[in-house]
Amino acid sequence: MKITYNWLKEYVDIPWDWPELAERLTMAGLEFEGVEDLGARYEGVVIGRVNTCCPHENADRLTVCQVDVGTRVNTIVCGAPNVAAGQTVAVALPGTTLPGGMQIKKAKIRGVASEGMLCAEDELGLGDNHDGIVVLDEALSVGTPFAAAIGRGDVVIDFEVTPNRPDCLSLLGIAREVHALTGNPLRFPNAQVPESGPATAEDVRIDIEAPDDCPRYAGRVVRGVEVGPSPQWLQHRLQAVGQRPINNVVDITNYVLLELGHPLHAFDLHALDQRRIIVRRARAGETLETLDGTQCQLGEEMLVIADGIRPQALAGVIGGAHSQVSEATTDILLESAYFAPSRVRLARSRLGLFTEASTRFERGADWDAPVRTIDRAAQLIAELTGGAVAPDPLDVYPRPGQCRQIPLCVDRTNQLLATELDSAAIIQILERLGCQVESGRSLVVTAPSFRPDLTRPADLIEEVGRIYGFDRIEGRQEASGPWIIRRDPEFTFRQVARQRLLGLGLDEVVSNTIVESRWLELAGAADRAARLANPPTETQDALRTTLVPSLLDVACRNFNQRATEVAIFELGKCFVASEEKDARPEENWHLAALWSGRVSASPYQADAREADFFDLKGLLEALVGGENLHFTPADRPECRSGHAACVSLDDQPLGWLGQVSADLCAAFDLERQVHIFEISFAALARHWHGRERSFSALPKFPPIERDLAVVVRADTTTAELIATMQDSAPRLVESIEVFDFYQGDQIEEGYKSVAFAIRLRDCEQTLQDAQADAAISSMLKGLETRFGARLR
Amino acid sequence: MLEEVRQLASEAVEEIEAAQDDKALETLRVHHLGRKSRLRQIARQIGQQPATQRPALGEATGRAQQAIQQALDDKALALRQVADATSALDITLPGRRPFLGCAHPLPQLTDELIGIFQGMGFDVADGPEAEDEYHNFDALNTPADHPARDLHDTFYLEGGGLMRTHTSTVQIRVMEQTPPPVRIISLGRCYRKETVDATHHFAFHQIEGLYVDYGVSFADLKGTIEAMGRQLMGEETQVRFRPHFFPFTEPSVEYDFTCICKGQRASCSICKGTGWIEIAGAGMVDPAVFSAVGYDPDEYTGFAFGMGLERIAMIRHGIDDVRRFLENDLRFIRQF
Repeated sequence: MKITYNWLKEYVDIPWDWPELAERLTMAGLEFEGVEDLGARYEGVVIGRVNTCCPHENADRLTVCQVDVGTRVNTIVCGAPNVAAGQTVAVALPGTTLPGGMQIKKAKIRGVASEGMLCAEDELGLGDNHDGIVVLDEALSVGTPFAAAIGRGDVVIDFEVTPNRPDCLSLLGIAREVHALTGNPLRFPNAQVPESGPATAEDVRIDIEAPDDCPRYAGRVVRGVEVGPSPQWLQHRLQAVGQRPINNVVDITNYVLLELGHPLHAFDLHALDQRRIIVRRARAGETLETLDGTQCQLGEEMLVIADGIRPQALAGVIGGAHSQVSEATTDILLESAYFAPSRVRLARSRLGLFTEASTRFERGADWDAPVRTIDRAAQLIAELTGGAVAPDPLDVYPRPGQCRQIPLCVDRTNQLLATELDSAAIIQILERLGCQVESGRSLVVTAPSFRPDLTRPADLIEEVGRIYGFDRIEGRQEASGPWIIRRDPEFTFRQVARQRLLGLGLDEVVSNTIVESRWLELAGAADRAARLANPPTETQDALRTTLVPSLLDVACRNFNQRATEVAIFELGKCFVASEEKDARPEENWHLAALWSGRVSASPYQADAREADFFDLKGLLEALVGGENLHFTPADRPECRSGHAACVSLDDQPLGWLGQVSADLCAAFDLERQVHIFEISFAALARHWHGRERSFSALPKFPPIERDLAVVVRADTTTAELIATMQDSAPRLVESIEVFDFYQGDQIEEGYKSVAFAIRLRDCEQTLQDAQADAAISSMLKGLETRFGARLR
Repeated sequence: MLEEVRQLASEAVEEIEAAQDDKALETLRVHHLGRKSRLRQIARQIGQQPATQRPALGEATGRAQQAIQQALDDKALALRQVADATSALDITLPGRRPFLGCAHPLPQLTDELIGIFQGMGFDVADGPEAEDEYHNFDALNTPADHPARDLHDTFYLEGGGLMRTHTSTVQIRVMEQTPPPVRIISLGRCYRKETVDATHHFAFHQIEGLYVDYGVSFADLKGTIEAMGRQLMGEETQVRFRPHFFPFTEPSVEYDFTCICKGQRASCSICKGTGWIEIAGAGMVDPAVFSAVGYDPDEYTGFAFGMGLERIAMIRHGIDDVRRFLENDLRFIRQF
């Protein structure tokens, strides 16, 4: 809502300059959005007095003037026919840029140095007149800035008005806020209407067929108006707050809307068929050409203002073109009504028409305002257009509005706000806001008709708080006793998982949950994706079911930025559409990691390998910890065949790990090999949460370490070998680690060599070499029997 | 014999001093102090000498052994020093660095906020991002034709439901399941159908706080936000509360933190010279919200607040564009 400081001053005395006004209103809930100095366009223009005036020696039409501009006397060459000594004039000093864009410089004009320019009306942007210079009131003092001298030293201030405060969408509404803050009396605009001629009812008849939608409709007729441009002051005010002047009648309705905040409209009386107004629902198939020239298809749910035949306006939203006021108009019907907010909202949202009127009506207008509003407009129209206002205005009011009575408990108010206000202080605040208050054991507050937002005690408490000042309430930081928080272990484990992965060298990413459907299809994970009905872009329309495409996309972006390695993880939500109708999608936390590129951060003496399956597998093992992680070969659509594993934990599915297939890499422009794991975070958290953490005694007796290298068929898995060795000497095996793996020239084709470091220990006594030898040979025997293994 | 001992010692010391390396030194040690050395032979023969000569001979032999041992030790040290000096490391060569990952600034901030609020006795709650209209709007006192629904442009799901426009939905879900008192925060992603630019994204993160009990007042809300402000933005941070409007709080406020520039720079890009940075919204829980979840609004009061994480992270780190958070350029992430 834009206002000007001087305009606001007409309704209430303001004890503050504009910056303080902006600050005070901000702290009362009207947030300051911006300011425009109207005088700034006249920067460099000052009041001057023409001391002498002589004809130019080298030009017939030019005059050389000596002009006092306050600080000095300038020589100025002027071409205006009306210039004369003794005049008070507007002088644009050198360096000035005038509102029309003209730049003033020192210049020699036909041999005479001229320091500035005496301005005409059009040059100052005040009008179209270029017949001569503007001659000003002699009383203006020389040297003062032009803007201040002509009352243009004003500022436009823009405030954000929250949707609950339609009353503040007006000068009077904002003046009321100043009144509430200062107690300075309000000055209501003049609405004394001089009436003459036949009664209003002679000219027009008003019927409301839909009283629930339109509880009130008031009309006034003004005859013999002379439609033309508005006076300068009115045009300037409208322009200052960003409105375009149209003609005096329309400008006055706009002005009154801004002033009082209640919408109104002027019809050309003669354009109304049968001189009737019928407020009714639109009929199927009816159309309306609106003021802005659009053809609207009306629906039966919309309320219209019709004449005897057709709709002439969309109630509470916009007027129609047919009955709009034009240069030819002589008699008008001024109307102002109160419409049900939901009806207006429905029509404007169906038609997509946001107007000054619809904004106010749908937020809740003042049912008491229509008569006041047309009276004020009629008064201005009579004054400015010479029209005669018909007596006995019509006020059809089938559903009178009722002010709400709200009980308010003083103690409750103080308790909620942490204040110590007595009832007198509370009453003063509420009365200044326009409420009527009856005091008793608890207060009974009657909210004014212009405050539809005040319906409950809580609403009144807010008013007390904001006018008293939230900043005056001290913040409290004291404990009222021990407070047990119920820590959800999953939150703790999210932090544990993230910290471990960061420590293991992965960077953390956070990617979009709304992804392209195509991505999910590429990853073979589009089947149960939930989709958006109104996606942000045409292609980006699905909720991710997997983190894989998102990580591939991140890898691609970073390799494009010449990253040498991308090692990243994301812990985030994925979504699966529910199989039940109308149920929310399932949401699960996934944890996924991607590793591609070199394995070490330092190029110096570094391991120059590219990260492979076992790098990421080791990382997953380190993350999860413990022995209960199992990998089984798997075929997955997104993975290279033979390079993927299904991962289980405590015999429950956890997720998968593998090398991304060449096709999927190509789809994301990835040229290097990429490995990914994706696991269910809930399964991991469950494992961590359920993990036993009991102490077992540290071994007292020394271990014996032996190595064993065997050659087996290439398709024998290492896991099977280890399991067999463990089973062969169950009591003594402490650990079995692979320390070498070989497949190549040194051994037969189709075979591989695996070497194990075995640590044996007896927990009850010192293990003897003979026992260790026996254990190793029983392991070897087991391997021979089951896999035909040979000692290498 | 006495003369021989002296001679042996001085010869040995001379030879030791001339030794070139550890190996030569070891040979000399065996030669001069070993079991078969001349000195040890003499020592073994002392007993056979006349009694008058024995003490002097014994003393001389002992002194010779000491002198030779000292020379060996000194020479060994000298040789080691020379060797170390020639094999000195260029310690300015780079270390072999393992990778250390960098946390994304948003989860970093999330962790920090969880820490701050757990310290003030708030529990952490989670809620769905795909929501229904009831929990996102209706239960939060925003019925279908409420003008406040204009503030949100919402993503709807095919087949019903929507993406939550704020984390306030979690308030409702927690209160539906927990009798008062309740003191929680919830952090997570929200969605609004905004055009993406440097300051807007259709997906963003919020933190929500809720405290409901007997006698919770506006002063508790202020105290909590002030404590958060100081811990998040520095001890000197001040907070101001401006009246505002949210359907689910009454009174509603917006709160601002003092800017890092302390209002001293008119050209400050963060506060535009006002000295205040608009942070987020808060208020006392609206009685209609309590009624929706079955709390008695006459008995309980409470406060709620929300805050956008991107905005805080942008202010704290001077990040210029909100889109960077979801782009995941590692050169960006590694800065935090």
